[in-house]
Amino acid sequence: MKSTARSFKENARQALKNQRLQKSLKVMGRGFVEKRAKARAALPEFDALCQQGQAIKTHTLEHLDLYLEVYEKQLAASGGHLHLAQTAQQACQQILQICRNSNARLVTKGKSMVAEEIGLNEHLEEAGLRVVETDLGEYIIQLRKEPPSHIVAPAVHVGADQVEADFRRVHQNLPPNRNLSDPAALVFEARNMLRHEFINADIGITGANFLVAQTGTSVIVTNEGNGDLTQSLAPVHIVIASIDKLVPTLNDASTLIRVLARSATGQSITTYTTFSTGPRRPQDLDGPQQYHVVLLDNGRTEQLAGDFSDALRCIRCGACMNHCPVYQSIGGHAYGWVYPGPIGAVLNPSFLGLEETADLPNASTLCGRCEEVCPMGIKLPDLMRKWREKHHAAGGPPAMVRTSLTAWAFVAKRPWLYQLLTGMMMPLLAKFAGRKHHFRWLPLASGWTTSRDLPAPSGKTFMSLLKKHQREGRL
Amino acid sequence: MTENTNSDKAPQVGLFVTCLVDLFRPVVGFAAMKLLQEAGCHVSVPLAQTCCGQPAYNSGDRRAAQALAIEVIKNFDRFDYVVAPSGSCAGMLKTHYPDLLKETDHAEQALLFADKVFELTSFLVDICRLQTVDRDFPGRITYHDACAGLRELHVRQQPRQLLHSMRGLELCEMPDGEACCGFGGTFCIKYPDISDAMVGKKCANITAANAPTLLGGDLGCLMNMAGKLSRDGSPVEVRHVAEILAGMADEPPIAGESRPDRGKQK
Amino acid sequence: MNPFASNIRRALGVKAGDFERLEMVRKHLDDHGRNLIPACALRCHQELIDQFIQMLENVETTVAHVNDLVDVASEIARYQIVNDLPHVVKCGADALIADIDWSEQSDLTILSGPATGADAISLTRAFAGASETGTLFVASGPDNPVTLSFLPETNIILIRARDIVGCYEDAWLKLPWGARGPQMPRTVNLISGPSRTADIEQTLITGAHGPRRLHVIIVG
Ligand code: SF4
Repeated sequence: MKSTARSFKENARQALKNQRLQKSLKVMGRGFVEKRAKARAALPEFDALCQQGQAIKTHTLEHLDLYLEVYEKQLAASGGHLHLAQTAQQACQQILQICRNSNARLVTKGKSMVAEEIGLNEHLEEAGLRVVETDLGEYIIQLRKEPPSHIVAPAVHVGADQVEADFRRVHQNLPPNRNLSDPAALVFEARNMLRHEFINADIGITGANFLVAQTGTSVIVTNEGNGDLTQSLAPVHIVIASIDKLVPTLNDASTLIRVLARSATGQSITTYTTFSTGPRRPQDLDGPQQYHVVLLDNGRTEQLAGDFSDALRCIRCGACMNHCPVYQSIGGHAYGWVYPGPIGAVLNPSFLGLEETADLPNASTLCGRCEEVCPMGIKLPDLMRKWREKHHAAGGPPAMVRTSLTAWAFVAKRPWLYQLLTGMMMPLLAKFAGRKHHFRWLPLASGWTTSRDLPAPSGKTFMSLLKKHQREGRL
Repeated sequence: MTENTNSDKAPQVGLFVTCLVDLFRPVVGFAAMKLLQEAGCHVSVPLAQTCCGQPAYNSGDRRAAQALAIEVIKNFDRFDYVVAPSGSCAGMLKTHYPDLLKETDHAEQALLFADKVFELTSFLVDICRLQTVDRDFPGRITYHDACAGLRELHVRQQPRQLLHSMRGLELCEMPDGEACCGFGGTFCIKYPDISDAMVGKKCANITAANAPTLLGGDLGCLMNMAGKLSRDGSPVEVRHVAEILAGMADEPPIAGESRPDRGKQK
Repeated sequence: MNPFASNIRRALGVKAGDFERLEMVRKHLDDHGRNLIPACALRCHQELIDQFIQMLENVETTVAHVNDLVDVASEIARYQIVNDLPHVVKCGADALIADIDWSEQSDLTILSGPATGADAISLTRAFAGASETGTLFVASGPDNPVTLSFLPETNIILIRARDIVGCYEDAWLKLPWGARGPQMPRTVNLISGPSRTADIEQTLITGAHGPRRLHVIIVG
C-alpha cells in the first residue's frame, strides 16, 4: 500500500468535508465506545486481566529469542513449515513461492493487518494470482480498491448503499430486481458469492492474533467464520504473522483473549477463536495438507531495542482509535497508511520514516484517552511525544514554528523580560478587543480565528496586578 | 514574592499561576489565592515564574522544556506544596517533569518535586480536606473535564464535590463529557480543521447539557470552547471553576461581553 | 540456528545460553501456570451450567438440556421440525455421537464424513465448554471433521454436562496432555454462537460465512 501520510493535512481536510464519512464515523464512534464500556463493566477483573496481559507480553518480548526457538521446534514437530522473512519484500516472495510450488491460481484470504503491511495482495496479483478477501469488510474494500480504514472494522467508512452499488457492479449474474436494500441481504449475497471461492481455493492465507510457543500453534480471532473456511478448505494454509505475536502458553493466550474482544468490539469473546497446529493429521478427513508460517520481522527487532518497544505489546484491538477524538473526526484513511489512529501514529513512522509521517504523531492533542483504554497499557501519548522529539532533533518542524517556540522559551526563561513584554502587550490587546472581549481575527492567529473567536485578555496581567496590590498594601 | 500568613503551622503553598491565567485571566489566579487562604494555607506567589514548558515539551523541544522545568523547580522547591489552577500545568509538573528531567542532574529532585504538586480543586479536597464551599451560585452549570487533569491527575470528583456543596448550584452533565475539546496547546494552531471539528462536537454536547454556564479547570480548553461558542453565537457563559468557588464571577465571562447585570454571585 | 533469535539477542543485549533466562522460560513453560481466573468461572457446577446456557443464549444460540443420550435423537428431530429444517444430519466418528440411538427417528438421515457445500445440518461434539463466555471447544479430527463446524447452515453441538467447566484454562485440561502441554489436534475451534458480522454499518447480522444457526445440546 502506497503511503499518503505526507498529505495528512489535506487528507484530513477532505475527510472532514466528506458527509458520508462523517455519518459513518458518528455511528461508529458511539457504538464501539459504549460496547467496550459495557463489556468492561460486566467483568470485574477486566483491568487486572489487562495488567496481566501486559506482563505476559513484556515477559515474552524480553525473552523473545527463546520463545521463538521453542515455537520453531514445536511448529516443526507438528509438521508445519516456518519461513523467516526479514522484510516485507521477502515475506511476499516466500508466500508467492509457496503458491507457485502448488501451482496455485486462486488464493482466499482471511483478514490480516500484517498482509496489508507487506502489500501482499498487490504482490500476488502482479504475479497473476487471483486473491479474494473473505472477511466481509475486507471483501467490500477490495471491491472498492480501497485500503482498510480501521484495523478491526476495515469497511467502517462505507455505507450500505455503497456496498449495494459495488455488489451490483461486480457480481455478474445478479438479477437487477434482487433486493439488496439492507445489510442482511448484502451479507447473504456476499456469503453466496464467497462460498465458491472457499471451496475452489488453492491456498488459504490467514493472519494470526497470537502464536503460542508451547504448542507451535497459531490463533485467529474472528466472527464470520471466513477465516476458518479459508484455512480449512484450501489444501495449503499459509499464516502470515509478525514476531510480536508470540506468547508463551495456551494459558497466556487465554488471558489475552479475555481482554481482546472486550476491548475491540465489546464482545466477551469473538464467535470463533481458532487454534491451529500443523497440517491435517494422517487420519483427518479434511483440513489443509500443508501448513506454512511466514514469520515477519520488518523492523520489529530493531524496535525492540529502541524507544518504541512498548508498542510491540499491541494486540491490535483498535480501542485506541475507537476512542480517539482525532480518529473519530477524520477516520482512518487520512492517516495515509496501514495502521490508523494513535497506534498508527506510533507505528507508521518506524515503517515509513519520519519525513513521510511527521504529521501523524503531531496531529494529536495528547488527550490520553487512547492510553486509558489500551488493554496493553501502551503509553501512546508519550510515544507520540517521543516521535516529536526525534522530529524536532532532526530539524523537522517548519522554521516558523521553531522560531516562535525558541522565542517563547527565550522570553520565558527571563521573567523580567517576560513580565515587561506581557505587561505591556496584554492591556493593549484587551483594549483592542474592547467590550466584546474577543477577536474575530488576529494576525498570526488565523488558524484559531477562522472558526473560533479568540478570547481577549482581561487587561493587566496577573503579575502586574499582584505587584500593584502589593504596592497598595492590599495583600 | 508575596506572602500571606494565616498561622505558623499553615502549609506553605506556592501558587503556580500558569501563563494563560497570568496573561489572559488574572481573576483565576486571585480566586485560587483566595480559596487556598480560606482553606488555611499560607500562599506565596514567586514572582519569577513564567511558563511550565509544556508547549516546548509537546512540540518535541526537550532541551527548551528542560531549561524551563529546572527554573520552575528552582522557584518552587522550597514550598510544602505547589498548586496550579490547571490540570494540564499541574500534570506537566507532576507527571512529566520526572520523565523530562530523567537524564539530567535534576532527576531525583524532579521526583521529589512531583510529590508536592497538585491541581487546585484536588488540592482543596484531597489535601486540605475541604468538604463544602459556603457560597451561593444560583443556576445550572455544566462541567468540562479537561483531559490532563482527568487522565493524568484523576481530577473528576473533586470539583464536582465542591460545586455540589454550593447553594443554588445545579450540575448538569453533558453527553460524552470525557471527550477532548480539541485544544491541545499548539495542536489547535497546527491542525485547525481537526481542532475545529472536535470543538464543534464538544460545543454541541455543551449545548445539549442545557446549562447557561460552562465551567472547567483549564483555561486553555475553556478559551477554546468559549471562542467556539462565541463564534456560534451561543449564550453559554464560560468561566474557570475557581471563579465560581471563590465567589469572584463578576468579571465578564471568557470571550464574553461585559454586561451590567453581572456580579449577582454572593 | 534461527537468525531471528540471534538478531533479537543482539537487540536485547543478551547472550545465547544465558542460564537465568533459559531457566525463566523453561519454568514458565513447564509450570502450566495460570493467570487470573475471573470469579464468574469459579462457581459451583450447576451455576456454571446455568451461566454457560445464559451466555450462549445472549449470542443468539439455542440450548437444550437433556437428561440422557437416549433423548438426543428426539431433541434433534424436534429442533428440525420447529425450525423447518430437512431431516438429515452429518457427523463425524465421535464416540458419543456414535452411541446415539436413532432408531425412533426413522425419517432422519444420518450421514457421516466431512462437510460439503451441500450439507445443511451438522452434528459435532465439544470436548469442553467454558462457562465464563459460553464457549464450546471442538477438536478437529476424524471424530469431528473441521468443515462440519463451518460449512453447513445449521450446526448442532453436543456436549456432556460434565465437560462444562468454568474457564478456558480448565477446558484445555480436557485435551490429552503430553510433557509440555496438550497434544493439539490440527485445530481447536472455540465456538461462541453462530457466525456473525457487523461489517456493514455496524449492524449485527447473524449468519455470515459460517453457520447461521447454532443449537447446543447438553447431555446429562
Ligand atoms: S495500541 Fe492498545 S488500544 Fe491500540 S490497538 Fe494496540 S492494544 Fe489496542
